[in-house]
Order: sequence, then structure tokens, then C-alpha cells
Amino acid sequence: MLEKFIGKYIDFPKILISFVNGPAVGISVSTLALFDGVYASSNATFSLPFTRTAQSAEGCSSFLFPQLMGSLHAKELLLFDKKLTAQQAQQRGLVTQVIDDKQFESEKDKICQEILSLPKGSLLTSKALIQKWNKQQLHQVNLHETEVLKQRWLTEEFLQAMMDFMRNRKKK
Amino acid sequence: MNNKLEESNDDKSSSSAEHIQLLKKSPAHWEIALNRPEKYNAITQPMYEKIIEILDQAAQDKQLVLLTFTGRGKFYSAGTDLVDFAKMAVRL
Repeated sequence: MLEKFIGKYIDFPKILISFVNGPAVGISVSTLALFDGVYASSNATFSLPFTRTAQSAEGCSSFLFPQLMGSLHAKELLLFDKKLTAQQAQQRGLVTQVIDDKQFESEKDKICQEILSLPKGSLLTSKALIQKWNKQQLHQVNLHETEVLKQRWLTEEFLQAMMDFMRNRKKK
Repeated sequence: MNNKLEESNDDKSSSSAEHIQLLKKSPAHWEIALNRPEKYNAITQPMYEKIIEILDQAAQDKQLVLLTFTGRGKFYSAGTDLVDFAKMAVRL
């Protein structure tokens, strides 16, 4: 199911924009590099707790994040559970623009209107062109990432992490 | 936190797709909103399935140009619902 879900983003032929209105975690962050635009509220944060939950990278992030922000910055997120502010995420190329939270809804409408004012055929053709050179590789990355992740789910380490998670949750 | 209350919410969520809102703002613009603010918009299996269904419809729609994603409430999304997932994992 996960492979299919990510695959839909890789192939998606329309303009795909994310408006990150607040904190974002896990798959909601790892898939952002597959979007055409990411607009973040100043209240947004970005984190990928893959290793803390004894899992591994998904959403093509093992491939796209190092490309996007450089290897060491990507490893801070993918390996060491670093949480980014909206500003930091923009500096690392994961966010198009940071918008003050008070203006978020009105700016959101403006950005959508601007995109919708562009010639539709050209917009979608150009997106397809940009997608074309990476698509095959991204599907390969997706397949491998999800296979590795399925193996992780069978490990003692993962079961322990899940049991700890459930135990901590019950204490609250 | 009241666990009993949480459990009943979980059960409800696993059988409904209302946590994914599809807003057709115009023929050219649809919006998907994660609408489970009480769980920080964590994504369950049925929610994943609903998003896949919408992405398929959107890809094929002749008039659609723009699909936007957002979260309702203070969170964008907490990612995969680990409670949903942990129950399944512990059973594996």
C-alpha cells in the first residue's frame, strides 16, 4: 500500500501544492520533495523520526533529500531526528516560501489564483517534462525503500520500539 | 489522557473516510484537507486509501489543474498513525 501511495505522487500529472499550516511529521514531510510547491506557515515544523521509531526512510527521501539540501543536512533529518523550523526548512530547499501564520489563509488563496491564471496546457506540459527525467529512478527508489521498510517491520528492534511507544502512551 | 475515549475514537476513524475532506473549489482546483485535528491529523489506513482514490480521480479529470493539500486545525499532519500501526505490528 505504501509503495502504491508514494507511486501516485511520483506520477501525478497535475500541479501539486502543499500548504503546511502547522507541525508536520514523518510521511507528511518525506513526501514533500515530490510536490511542485511547498508553502509553510511560520508555525510549521518539520521532523522525520524514522530512527527513533526503528524504521527507515520512505517517500523517496533517501534519494531526494540529499539532492535537495546536501548530504549532511539530509542526514540530520533522516538519521538524527533533527526538527526543522519553517525558516530552516526553506533554507534547506524543502519549502518554497514561509508565510506569516496570520496571513496564511489569504496568501494561500493568492498563490492558488496566480497558478490558476497561467496557461493550463503549458503548465501541465512543463511539469511532465520536468518529471520525465527522474520518474523511472524515483520508482526504483520507492520500490527499494518500501522493501527495506518492510524488513524493518519484522525486526525485534521495531517491535520493541512499538511496544515502548504503546507503553509510554498509556502512561500519559 | 482517557484511553477508553481514545480507543472509541480510533475505532470510529478506522471505519470512516470523513477524515479526508475533498473540496472542489472550482473545476480547475481541488483541495484535500486532512481533517482529524483531535489526532493531529495522523493518517490511518483508510485515510491512505481515500487519498489514493482522490489522486487517481484527480489525475484523470480533464478540467483539473491544481491539487492542494493542507491540514485542518493547528497541525499539518503527524504522519502515519502509530497507534493504528503499532496494534498491527505487535500482532505480526
